[in-house]
Amino acid sequence: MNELLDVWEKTLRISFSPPRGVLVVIVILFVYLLVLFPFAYLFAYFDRKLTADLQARVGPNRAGFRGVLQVFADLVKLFQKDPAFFSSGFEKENIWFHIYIMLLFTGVVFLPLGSLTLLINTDMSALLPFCAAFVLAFCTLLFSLSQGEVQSSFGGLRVAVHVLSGAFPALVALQAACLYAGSFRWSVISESQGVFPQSWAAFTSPFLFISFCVFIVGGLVMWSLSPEEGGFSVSSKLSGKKFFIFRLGRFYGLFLWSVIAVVLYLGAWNMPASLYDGLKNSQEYLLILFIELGVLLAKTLFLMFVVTGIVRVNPKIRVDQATDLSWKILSPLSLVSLIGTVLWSGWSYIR
Amino acid sequence: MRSDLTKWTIGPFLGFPQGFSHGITQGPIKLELFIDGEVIVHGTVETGYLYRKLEKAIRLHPWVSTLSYAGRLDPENAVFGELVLCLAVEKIGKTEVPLRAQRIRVVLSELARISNHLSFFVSVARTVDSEIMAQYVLRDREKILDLFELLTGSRFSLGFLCYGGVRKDITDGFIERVLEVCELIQKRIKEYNDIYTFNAAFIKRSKKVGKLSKEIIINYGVTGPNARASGVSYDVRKEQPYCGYEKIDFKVPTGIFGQGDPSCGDVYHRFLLRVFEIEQSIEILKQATEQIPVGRFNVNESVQSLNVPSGEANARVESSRGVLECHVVSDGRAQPNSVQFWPPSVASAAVISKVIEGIKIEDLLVVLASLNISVSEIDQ
Repeated sequence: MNELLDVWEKTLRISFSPPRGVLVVIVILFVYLLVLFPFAYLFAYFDRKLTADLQARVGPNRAGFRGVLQVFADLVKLFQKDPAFFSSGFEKENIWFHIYIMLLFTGVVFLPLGSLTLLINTDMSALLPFCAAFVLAFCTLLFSLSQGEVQSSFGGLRVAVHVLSGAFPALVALQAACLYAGSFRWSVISESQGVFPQSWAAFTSPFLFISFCVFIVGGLVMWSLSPEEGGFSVSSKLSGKKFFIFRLGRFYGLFLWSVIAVVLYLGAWNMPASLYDGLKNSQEYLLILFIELGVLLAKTLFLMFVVTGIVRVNPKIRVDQATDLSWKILSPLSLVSLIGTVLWSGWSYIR
Repeated sequence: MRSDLTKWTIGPFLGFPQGFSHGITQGPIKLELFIDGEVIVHGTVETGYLYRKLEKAIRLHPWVSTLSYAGRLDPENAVFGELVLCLAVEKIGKTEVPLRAQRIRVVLSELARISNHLSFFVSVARTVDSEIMAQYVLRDREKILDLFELLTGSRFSLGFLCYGGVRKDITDGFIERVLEVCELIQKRIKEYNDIYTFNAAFIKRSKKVGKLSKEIIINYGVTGPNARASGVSYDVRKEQPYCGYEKIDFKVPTGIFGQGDPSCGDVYHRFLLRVFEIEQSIEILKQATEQIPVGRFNVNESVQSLNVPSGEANARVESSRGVLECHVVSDGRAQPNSVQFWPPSVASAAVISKVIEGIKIEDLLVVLASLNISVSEIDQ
């Protein structure tokens, strides 16, 4: 982490040496202000346009040129809707909502967005997002139960069930990918893959491709919003700012999942080695940062659109059916992919 | 009944989305559910929040105006309300409706049937949370509403029928447009099959869910597609033909896929039956448009001058939701003495408490949507 912060110090070109904590905050702010929020905005806009196109509608076209300001307009509307952000009388609900927000906003330190934003790059880094997902789901459950409404309680319970059932196959699939890379460290996982598709983990062996599919579908189960039927969801009673933050949390979940899938299976943020070495030698860290971000986010955006497209076109299955899918199909497949990857890697080593 | 169950009232006055204005019931309905975890053990239905004194209003107005009220019985199927009242009044007056008018009535009825069945697909798609599926169907339904607009100037409450025929003759090019839409819908049925019938996720959500047995159907008097999906073969168009349906060759798709199938009568079959019914409606439309003769479209010179003699009559039509019955009593005055409707949704709503027993809460709306109930029709 110290090396990373040294690079940031050089990148920022400041004459004095700021405290390390300040640099960490700067990195987090960079990720939030220049990556997460703009990306959420872009995704929301393109998602609405694409969905409208699939539904033979025009989509947002009022606010700004071709409706590009529509998301902003919605945001303004949501923020005006509920002036009493944390009103009294809802203390329990507010406590869990505060914790939810804190987790949401600190969870960004786990995000592997490039070699220069890896704040936590330990031997167990790849497992940390799962911990975050569990805690976030637990928090959502308590938040929904604290609302005291039957439908939001059902929604919260379903979120918890989704996360628990999707996590097992996804964790096993992650182990297969990390086994191929030889580590749970983000930097090692990234280095084990190349720039072009044939050197991406997902396409190096059939077992890793199965593992990739299991990881994606497991993620869908984990992050799938519980069916909205009759408003049986956590957000059914939310409005205004709380609704916005809750939806941002759901987006963050999908984004986090897609980023991890890209890092594990789709070549991470890798650029051609010659280009990387040249930029590093000339100390163009800012350029490295943006190229890596660009590569990673382009792949992530593509993956997110594919996944959301599949979700949008198909009906949602019931929570017990999602659990069945996870336990009876995804889990055995993930175990097959893990064992297959062990044998494949062992055979390659012996040969 | 167990006493440790959670009682949960879903009603129009609790601000709950499916209570007051959820699209699947097209009106307010109150459900009182007793749930055990996610399973509904027992439930009751309460209607009456949309009571408009429709029958009373009809009695207070002259004969000419009554048809507008009859069309409001079920705004989405306005033509059937008008038609059944027309048939009853024409029976009292022993009016011979011209063949051209009869054929136009058949065309309008079948278009309304297709439109309502497509609307059913939309409701079901929305309850399984697939807006894209819903929009695909809505796109085609628009074409039928365009046809209504072309002929009558209205898209829903048509107000096109009158005692003794129809108000106006069909416009130039209308028949060609109807046939074009038939061709389009026929092609689209393949698409609907792709996105619904053969969709694994849809099958998971609809098969073996909300099963209605033949016994329940008969005991509660459920009619229409809901009954036919459970294997009860009854269609007024075949049993007691009206408007010249006896001269049209068509099949009544009934339980052809359900013979021996233990899941017969579930949500999936109710959906599938409507797909088959759309195919048959297209067949009827093709034949009816071919058979439209040249001639008068109304027996009365003016729709304003109408004298209904004393008497009473009963008429039945096969609406898209089931058998719609109307009983009219006339004492020779300018207003009817009594008009009573027996809409199909009454029986369909009565079986809700039976059909939701043992289903999961997540399936509640899917099952309700599959019954295709119009609260407007029940409350009148």
